[in-house]
Amino acid sequence: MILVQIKDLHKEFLLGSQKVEALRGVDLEYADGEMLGIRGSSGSGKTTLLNLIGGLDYPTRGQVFFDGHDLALLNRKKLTEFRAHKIGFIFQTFNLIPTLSAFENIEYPLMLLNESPKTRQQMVTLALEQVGLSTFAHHRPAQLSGGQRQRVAIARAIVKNPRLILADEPTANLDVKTAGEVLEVMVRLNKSNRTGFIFTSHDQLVLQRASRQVHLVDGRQTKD
Amino acid sequence: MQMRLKIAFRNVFRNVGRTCLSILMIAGAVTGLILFRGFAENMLSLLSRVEIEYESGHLQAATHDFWEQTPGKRGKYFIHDHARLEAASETHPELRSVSSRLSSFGLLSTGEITVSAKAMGIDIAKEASMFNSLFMIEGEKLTPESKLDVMLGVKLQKQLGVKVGETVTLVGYTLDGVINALDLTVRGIFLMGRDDIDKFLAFVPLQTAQLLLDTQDVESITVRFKKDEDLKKMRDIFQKEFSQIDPRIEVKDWYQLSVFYRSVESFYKVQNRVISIILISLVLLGIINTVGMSIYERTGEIGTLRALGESEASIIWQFTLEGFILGVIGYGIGIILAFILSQIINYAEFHMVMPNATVEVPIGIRLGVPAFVEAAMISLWTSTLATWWPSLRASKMSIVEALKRNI
Repeated sequence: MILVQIKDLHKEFLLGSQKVEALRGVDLEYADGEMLGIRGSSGSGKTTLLNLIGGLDYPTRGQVFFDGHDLALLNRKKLTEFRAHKIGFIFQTFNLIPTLSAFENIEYPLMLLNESPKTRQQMVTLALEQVGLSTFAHHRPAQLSGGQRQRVAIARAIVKNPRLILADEPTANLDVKTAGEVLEVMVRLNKSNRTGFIFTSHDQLVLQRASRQVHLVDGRQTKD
Repeated sequence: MQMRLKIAFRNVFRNVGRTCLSILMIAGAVTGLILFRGFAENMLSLLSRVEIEYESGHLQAATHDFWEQTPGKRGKYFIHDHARLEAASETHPELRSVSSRLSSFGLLSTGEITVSAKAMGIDIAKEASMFNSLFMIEGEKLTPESKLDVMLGVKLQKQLGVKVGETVTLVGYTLDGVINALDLTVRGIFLMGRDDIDKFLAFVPLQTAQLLLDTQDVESITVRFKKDEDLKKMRDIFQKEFSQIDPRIEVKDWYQLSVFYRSVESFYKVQNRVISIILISLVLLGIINTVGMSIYERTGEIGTLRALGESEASIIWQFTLEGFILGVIGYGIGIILAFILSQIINYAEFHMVMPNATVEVPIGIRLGVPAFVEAAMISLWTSTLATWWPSLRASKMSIVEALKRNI
């Protein structure tokens, strides 16, 4: 089943007075539960593509359909609800809230969905178990290693059982061993829970874990 | 809500230095507002005591034409049945004193020096409490036995250049328009503390004033209650009872009669407003600045929260809650500081001379509930409002641009 369909997607930015074309007509289909890797060098448009799929930004031209709905037609409020319910994000810099513990960071998306405290407790505990961080539940991000922080970020993304998780360079800030462990968690979740991932990387070792790869060069999709 | 509150508390104390600065600003404003208002309240309270004890009493009753100063023969507007009015008043247990007054504008002369003055004829026995608390510079007070005696205001005495025991002549007109004069012995010199009174007023026994004006009537009845709080309920009762005896009678309370008190009160109100506006502006600018810095530092975090599905309204709500917490803490510290400082000021017994006054009065702080309520409203509103505006801007930020700040 096709979950995401992208048609002739364009995105332009103004960098000062200079117009920059980050995406120049990308067409892509993503099937539910896939582990899709987007490859490309820095500035190729990988992050921009993820941002548009995740409803963080509007395209200049073209369409992103998610589960049959054109995201460009959703207003800001609807787009916020879409992100809260359907999408999980994992960022290169982990982006955990420093004042919250690992448990509370994971709990946050559930609070936005108005889940009861009891349900939140159960779901967060399960997510922590799935990323192997049960004993670190009450640690603040500053008390965790890079790999542990990224695993908390993964738990935060999976805890609400979203249709799709978008991971932007999830291992770029990690050493090889830790990166391997984090990828292992993602692959395991993909296989066991059928959690769909679209992740970006320029590291071939990381991309090998994807079930399918897409290559972006200067905002265009290329065939290898 | 519980989680939002928890997050708000943690965020408030994220940058302790900056938070302390914001809290100190709010606390300073709260302290300033409460102390200033307490100072004004104390001054007004002192002034109201002077008005009630030395001037008008709680209530004054006179004929309508007397109050309106209707042109015509003066004696026509006097009260004839003052004994009945006084007797009716004395049936109320709330009453402290009731007495009649009769004043005459005339000239006081030593033979060499003549000045204009107001001779206030009072019932010495019935206004004993006022007389007992009167501050005497020299000589003695009038007594119920006094007849052709006078007490002079300190500045009036200086203008005349008379000493206690010497004689002055009081010249005035009887109600029939005939010039009358009485030789009075100066028994004492008093100090009211108000310039306009001390250089113009002389106290004489009521009978002496009646003798000068050649009448048995009085111009007004002065009523004092045991408690200030009784005024409100007794005012209407006295109006009703007095009207039954003499339909021309109109009762006025001290507040209506004291133009000076009302002008001081409105001066303090304006001053209070100006100080409030200055303090609010300082707090507003200070908090907008500190919250603005906090939001700038947390831009990446705001981007993350928006990406996770946090709505624009929730971002505003979160920051506004933090501003409210700052306001509550600042208010709490502010009222403690205000209480401590008020105790120190009251204990230190500083003195100052009030406008139009000739003597120093103690500077005190009278803490009252309205000051605390006003300070609470101002501090909470200001801190919440100051946070609302920058957080509104933060909520409208591009998520993608905000996320770029996570480094």
